[in-house]
Order: sequence, then structure tokens, then C-alpha cells
Amino acid sequence: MRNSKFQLTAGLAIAAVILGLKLAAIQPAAARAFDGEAYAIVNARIVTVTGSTIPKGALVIRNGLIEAVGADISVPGDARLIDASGLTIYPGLFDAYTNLGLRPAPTPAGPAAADPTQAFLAQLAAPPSSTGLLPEVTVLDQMQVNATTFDQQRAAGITTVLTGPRNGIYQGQSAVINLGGESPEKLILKAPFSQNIGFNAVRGSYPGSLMGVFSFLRQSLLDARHYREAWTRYRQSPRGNQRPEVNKSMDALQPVINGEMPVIFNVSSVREIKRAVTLAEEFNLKYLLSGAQQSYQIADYLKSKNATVLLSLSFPQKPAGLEDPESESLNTLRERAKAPETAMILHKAGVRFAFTSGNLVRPGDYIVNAARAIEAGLPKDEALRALTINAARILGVSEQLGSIEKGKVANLVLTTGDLFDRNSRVRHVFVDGRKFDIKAPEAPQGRNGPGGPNGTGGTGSGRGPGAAAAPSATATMLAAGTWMLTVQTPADEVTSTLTLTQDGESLNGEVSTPFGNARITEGRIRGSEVMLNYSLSVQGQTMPVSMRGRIEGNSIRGTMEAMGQNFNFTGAKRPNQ
Amino acid sequence: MKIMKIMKTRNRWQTPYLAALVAAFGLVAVFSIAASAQQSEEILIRNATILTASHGTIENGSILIRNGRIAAVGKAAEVKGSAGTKVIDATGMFVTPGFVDSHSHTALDSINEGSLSVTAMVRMRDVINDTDINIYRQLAGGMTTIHQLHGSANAIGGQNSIIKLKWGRPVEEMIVSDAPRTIKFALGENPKRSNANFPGVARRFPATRMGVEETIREAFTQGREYMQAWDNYEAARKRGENPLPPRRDLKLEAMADVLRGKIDIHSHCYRADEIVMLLRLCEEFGIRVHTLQHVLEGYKVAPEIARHGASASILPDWWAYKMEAYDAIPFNAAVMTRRGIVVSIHSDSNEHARRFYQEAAKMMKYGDLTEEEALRLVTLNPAVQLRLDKRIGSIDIGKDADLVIFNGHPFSVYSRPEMTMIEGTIYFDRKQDLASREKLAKEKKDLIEREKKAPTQAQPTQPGRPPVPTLSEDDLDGHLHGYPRQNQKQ
Repeated sequence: MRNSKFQLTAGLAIAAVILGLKLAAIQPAAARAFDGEAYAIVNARIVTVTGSTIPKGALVIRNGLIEAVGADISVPGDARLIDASGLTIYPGLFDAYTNLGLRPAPTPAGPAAADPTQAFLAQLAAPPSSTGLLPEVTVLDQMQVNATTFDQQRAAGITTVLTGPRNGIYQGQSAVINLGGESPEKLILKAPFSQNIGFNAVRGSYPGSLMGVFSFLRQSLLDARHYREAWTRYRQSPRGNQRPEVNKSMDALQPVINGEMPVIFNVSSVREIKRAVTLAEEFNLKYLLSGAQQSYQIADYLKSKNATVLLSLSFPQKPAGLEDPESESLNTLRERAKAPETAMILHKAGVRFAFTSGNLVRPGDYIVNAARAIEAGLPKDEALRALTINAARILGVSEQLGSIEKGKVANLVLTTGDLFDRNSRVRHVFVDGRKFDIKAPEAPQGRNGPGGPNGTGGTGSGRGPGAAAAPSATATMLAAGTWMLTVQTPADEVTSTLTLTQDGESLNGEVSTPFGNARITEGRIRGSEVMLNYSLSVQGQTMPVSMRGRIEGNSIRGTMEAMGQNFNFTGAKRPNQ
Repeated sequence: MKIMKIMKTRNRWQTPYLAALVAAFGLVAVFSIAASAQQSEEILIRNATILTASHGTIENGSILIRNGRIAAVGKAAEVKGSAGTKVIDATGMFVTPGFVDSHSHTALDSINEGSLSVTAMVRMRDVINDTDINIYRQLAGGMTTIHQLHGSANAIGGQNSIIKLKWGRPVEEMIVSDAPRTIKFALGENPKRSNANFPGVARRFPATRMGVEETIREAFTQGREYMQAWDNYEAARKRGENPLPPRRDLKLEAMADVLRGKIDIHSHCYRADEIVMLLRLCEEFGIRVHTLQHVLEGYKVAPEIARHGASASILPDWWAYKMEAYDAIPFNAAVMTRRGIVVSIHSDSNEHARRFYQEAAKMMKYGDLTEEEALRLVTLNPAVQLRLDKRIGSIDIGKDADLVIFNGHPFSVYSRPEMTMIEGTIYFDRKQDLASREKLAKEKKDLIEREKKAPTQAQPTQPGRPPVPTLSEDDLDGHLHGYPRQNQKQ
């Protein structure tokens, strides 16, 4: 039926649209190279989310939008035909809180150490340090994407995310983006969406503690109000009023204190949630709570506050290599058992929520964990809504996204079965009408036992716990040896020694620092990219450290994340003796 | 669900309070205890030896509690409940007021804002951790009220908080909301960082005791200027002008309130010279040091402290753990008490706080304090230092029913608390604690088994946010206070 006389002939294409072809039961001919923007997906089960499910129907995409959808619709002749027999179409999934596509922000410089008396006088005289106060940072400032940046997310059916900077206290302005294009300008659906706030202390300067973070937040919100007052007076009557200074951070906080832009608090425990709500109420801020892992304990409280939760599906997991299961506390075990029930409890209490992946290492685990929430009692359609239309509503893009309706953006996921079925597989994803084919994973499943290695950078494109790539036997032996590292902290350079052994892609060894020594708990090398995790015991506290770097010959450079901050490091391999 | 139920006379310890906590399962339990606050009922603690801390010991005495307060206390024959009164038969037992710790760092997610030398803007109440297991452990030692202090890293630290240890209740119910505001100052080796050097952290001013004095003087001066700026603003408003208000500065606001006498100074100090320095400095600015903390050399300058009107909250018998602690003596409490100073003992330690009464007992040995004087060191006197003595600190009519029932005299090392109540609600009951252990162990075992059976559910995630580091007092002192510090995470 789909014969060549329609090919690329505008007049005939128009004729085809006018004539309309009933395609509901038509078998496609062999696919042809066709670079058009119109697709007709036929013979599909279509889960529209906002309307009823169409057991067998068609959907037409043109210019990135859904042109038509229904059981019995005309399909234009110029559209590239996709026979989706046996496939189900869902709206593209949302991940409502990420930092995808953003390069790490530069670590704000600490105060100049210089003359202590001067530093002291400056301390007393100056308003609190602006470290951690970067509300003016935007997604456009920080976005760095290429064709493959979002491969893993798309393979997991995720087509739209909220992304935002994650460093410091006022972290900057988030944006809603589509995971399709290659340039930031084309990805952005809505910017700015929110100001993101983290309760992160700043090492070596104020605020260096959690309580300092709260004083800092309160002071800067007061300052923003004072700034507003000063400028309002000046604008009303420039004559006779001193001109205030311009301050871009204070400017960026104006929509926040005016209640025009929500803040997102990244919180997990009950007390963090309450601290966030208390602060928001004190300053009349619009707010959302992201993460909120312990929200199941205070669902009624959240309902009474009319709070909106971006619930993380990154469930706590048993630590790898735990020798004695008894060594974990009862509370830790309870938390793990309770995590999948959280969504159900929020739903029952009537709390508004959408899902976030919580930066799962394997995006494919997102749907797997949503399925666990369903197993724990969340109705399946509610799970789907938390991934689609409810997220779209919360993020203010439900006019154009979140369901399959005529006129909405063609963000779609085509699966081989029910989305939450473990055996289902994502076949195709459309983002802004652009088609992405998802390859089946190369290797069969298997490495999904507790304590399995994290699959960062896995090439598997399916989902499910086994989708990570198998270790490559051809990994080059770059990492083994003794490395002398220098880490740049705001106040000082800290030197460390790293001793590594390499087995395929896996790295083991020890790190020796001025804070103490530690064994590498997790280490990996892919190509020349190295990832190491370990935990130091500093001042009686466990401090997880994560290093990422790239090896070039005998040198290494990268960033180290500790205490919520990123530090740059460089290093060199000690020559063999 | 009725959680707290005290049986009449027989099986008196079988209160299913903690059992219910366990039965409620999971962390919901923490909130379901809310149902247990049955303050409207009457409770009679009958036939005990009552150490009132204010008016001596009552043998064969009874305490009647109504609406969470002490309604009557006296001889058992004279104090009676009504028909519906729950009765706790305490024959052979001893009852004391709940203990009050005037210097604690328990249940806090951070202790020191160690970045600056003046951090009057930070508030401990922003970082209270109401799930800290040390709350429960200290309840088991009879502690009911604690003064949560900022650490001693800075000459002027943060604003402190006062909580009651209502384990299982949310933080907003723990905070004593009508308590006075207090602030931590610190003198000597800790604010000048004599014993601690943190890699990656630049050293800072002050590095000497002279510098500490100057830091405080400068902060007072700035606080005074800030007050002046606001006074000028208010005056202009009164004249009908409409000037731009001064910028609100949370640090200087606190300093101004210190100068106005609205915030009590609680100052960490060791040596006689620095103690006198602070007294004089405050007098220069027309204010008073409310309470000296630690005060190891207080005995050397007790007349000066008494004349100034400061009280003293001390470590009972710690010494020689750093240079400024060499001249400490265990007679400090007695010497200062005899000079008319209100003295309390404090724990400054999660471990000591669990057996606080034993610390008080030592003070009968060193300096011959009477039994009641020694008991007041951990009850009424710290209550006075926290300006809460109208509510807590002794067993008197009208005060909060914060009580501890011991199985023997609290100053015997063989005695232990059997029950601790706050405002008439039982928050620790030893028998119930023991009874619940088996259930908790089973719950844990079941959860471990359940995970073993669960099919391959490990879901690797990126590492979570690391804990926000907190500079402890051990870090500053360069030694451990008592036991090695435990990870605060449960």
C-alpha cells in the first residue's frame, strides 16, 4: 500500500492527507529511507493517560506534535509508517528532579586567607560570605550536551526532566527540558522553573555547618527583601534617594521572595522536610520538596501543608559487601522495607506528588522501582500519572506534555508490553517528534544480585537490573600503580597517595590522605575514565568521597566530591621502582 | 489506641507503653506515641521516698499529678487521688525531680559553626535531631531537660536551645518554647584553636586570649552601633520621616539583644584570668554573664564571680586533659556553693548524661555538700540557670511532673532509674524496655530474612549526600570527652 508514488511529492502528499487512508489494519511495506518529520504509528495499543486507553489505534506525528490519535483516524500519506503491532504507546516519562546535561559548577572560592586580622575585620564588617549564594546560575549557563548525553535516559523511556544545578545552598535556576535535541536552546521547554536549594555546608568558610546554612538562608532572604525595598524606593523617587548597588544574586532572588518562582528543597529525612517547610513558611516561599524519602512518616502533615513532593525512586539499598547483616540498625532495615510503600502512603493521604529518579546510576531502574511501588500498593494508573501528567502539571507543562492528546508534544515511549512489566522493553522513543530506536541489550541479564557493581556508564540500553555492560576484557591497564594526587580546596592544597590495582575494569586499592587512610570501596575504569568511591572518617564522622577523573599517560585529573562540594584534583603516577 | 495504661497497684510496671511503640511498627511508631500524651488524667505515685530538692526528703510520701503538673506532694496519708486516679505503687522506691543538664550537645545535627569567630546568628534549634537515640538513653538515666549549647569553637558561638527529652515526640513539642534565649561564648584554648588544626582549613584570628577579648569587645561594639542605627531609624519615623530601614543583620540583632539583656550569656571558660576578664568586659558594657560554663578555676575567683552575680555550671572532676585544665580540683562545686554561687553540674557528654546522678553524688565526697545540695546540682540549680525554676527542678506543687523513680537511693552506684516521666507522661519504663527487646530482635530478624528472600532487589544508586560535618567539642579539645564519640546516625 505504501508505494513510492507518494514519495517526497508535495502535491501528492497533500492529496494523501486530503484523501486520507484508513490504515488501522494495514501492514507496512519495507521501510524506506525517509527523512521526513511526519510519522504514523499504527496498530498500537495507546495509553493516553488523560483519556481512555485505545486497544488498537494510530497516532500521527508532524512537526514534533501529535497531529492525530485515535482508533479510527486517517493517516497522511507523507508520514513514515511504523507498524506497532504488539507495542504499547505511552506518553514520554518525566523525571521531575535531576541535574542532567549540566557540567559541574565551578567551586566557589573560599575567603582569602591573607592577613588574619584583616580577614577578621572583614568578617565582622561584611555581610555573610556569598559562597553558596549562586541563585543567578541558569541551566543555559551550565548545559553541555551532545547526541549521546541522554541515551540512557531515553532508553529508560524518560523524555522530559527538570534539571538544575546542584552545588551550594542557593544552587541556581532549574529548567524543564526535553531529552531530544543536541543544543541547549532546543531542549528547553520552560526556564526558569525553580530556584533549587540544598542544605549544604561550605567547607572552610561560612556557613560551615548545617545550622550556619539556615542562618545563611534566612539572612540572604532578608537581604533580598531589603534590596527590594531599597530599589522600590529608588525607582519611585530617584531624586533624593541614594542609588542602591546592583547585585545579581539579589536580583535572582526577587521572584523567589515575591512568590513568583518556587524553590525546590532537596531533602530526605523528616526533620529536613520540616526544616524546609518552616523556612518556606517564615518567608512565604512557594516550595516543592524533592527526594523526601522519609515522607511516608509525615504524609498527613504534608497534606495539611498542601505540599508538593518530587518523590525519589532511588530506594535505599543494602551496602555492598556487608559482612554482618546484624550490624545494621533496626531503623535502617525498616527504612529499606518501607521505601517502596512511600508513594502509596502519599497517594492515600492525598499528597500531590510526581516521581524523580533520585539520580539512579542506571536510569533503567527508574521504572523497575516504580513497579516496586506498585507492588507495595500504589495503584498502577497513579504510578503512571506520577511519571507523566502529574509531573507535567507540577512542572507547569501539562498544556503541552504528560499525556497523549492531539496538539501535545510528541514525546512518546513504545514498549513491548505493559510499562511496569519486568519483561517489557522500550523499543522506540519519540522526543519532540524525533524518533530514537532503542537497541536490545547485548548481553543477557544476570548481574543483579545484592552488592552488584553500580552500572555507571553502562552501555546496555534495555532496562532492568541486568542492563549494565559486562566488564570488558580489553580494558587497558592504565590505572594500576601509585598515584600522587593534589586536591585543591578553597584554603589549601591537600596531597594524597592513591595505590591501585586493576582487574579488567575494576579497580581496588587504598588511598592515604591527611585525614586518614581508606580502602577503595568501589572503583572502575572505562576507557580512560576512572571512578573511585571510598569513605574517610573525619572528626568522628563518615565522609563518603567520590572521585572521577581521566587518565592521560602518567597523569590524571578530575574532580573529587566530598561533603557536597566538588574539588579539582591533579596527579601523577609514581614511576615504577 | 490506648497506649499508656498504668495498672492499679499490682503489675504496676506492666505499662504496655513501649510494647505499643514496637507494635505500631516501623517509623510510624515515632508519631503514634502522640496518642500516649494523656495529660488530662490523674496519676498518684504512692509511698515513695521523695527527694524534693527544694524542701527536704519525705519518707513514705506520695505525689499527685494532674494535667501533667504536680498537684500535691506530701506524706502518703495526706496525699490521695480520686476514684479514677492511676496509681503507681512506689513502695521502697525513691523519687527525684527529672534531671536538668545545663550543658549538653545531645540531639544536634551540628554543634559548631566553626568558620567565624563570631556566629551569634546561628541557632541550635534549627538543627535539633529528635531521633537521636541518646535522648532515650539519657531518659533511662533520669534526664528530662537539656540545654543544647553551641560548641566552643568561637569566641561568640550560636544561640542555644532548651528541650525536654520527649522521646518519640516531634521536635516542636520537645522545645521549651517559653524558655529564655541564651547564647554561647567561649574563652581560652578552644576559640584560639590551641589544640586543633584542621587540614585544609586556614588558621584564623584570634590566636591568643588577648585576641579573644578583643573579638568579644568588637562584637559588643558593633552590636551597640547596630542598636544605634535602629534607634535612629525609629526616631526618624517618629518625626514623620520615611527613611530606608537599616539592613537586618541576624548576627548583630543577636548581639544587640545580648546588650539589651534579652539573651543570657553562657560562657565556656577555664582559667581564673579569663573568667575575670569576661566579667569585667561585660560590666564595661553594662551587662552580666549569666552562667559560666566549665569554670575549672572558678574556686580561685569565687568572690569575684559571686560579686558579679554569675552562676557556675561545672564539670565535676575532669582535669589535666589540656593545659588550661591543669588546675582543676573536684572541690570546685563545694567552694563556689559556699561562696553563694548557684552551681550546677553538667555532662557535656552523651555518656556522662546517662548517669548524671552519680556525678552529683561525688560532690558529697568532695567538699561535704549535703545530700540536698548535691541533688540540686543536677536539678534545681541548673533550672535556675535556665530561668526555668518556676516550672522544673524540684518536686513542688504547680511544677511540671518531670520525675524519676529509682529503685534505690539515687546516689548509690547500685541504684538505677525504673521510670522517667515528663509532664506526667512516661517516656522511659525499664520493665517495658526489657520486655520489648525480644520483639525488636524478632522484627530485625524478620526484616533481614525478608531481604534475603526478596529477589535481587539491589538497586544501585549514586551515593547520597554526605553528612554535613560538624566540629565536635572533642575535636577542639584535642581529647575525647569520656567515651569515643559514637556515630550519631542510628
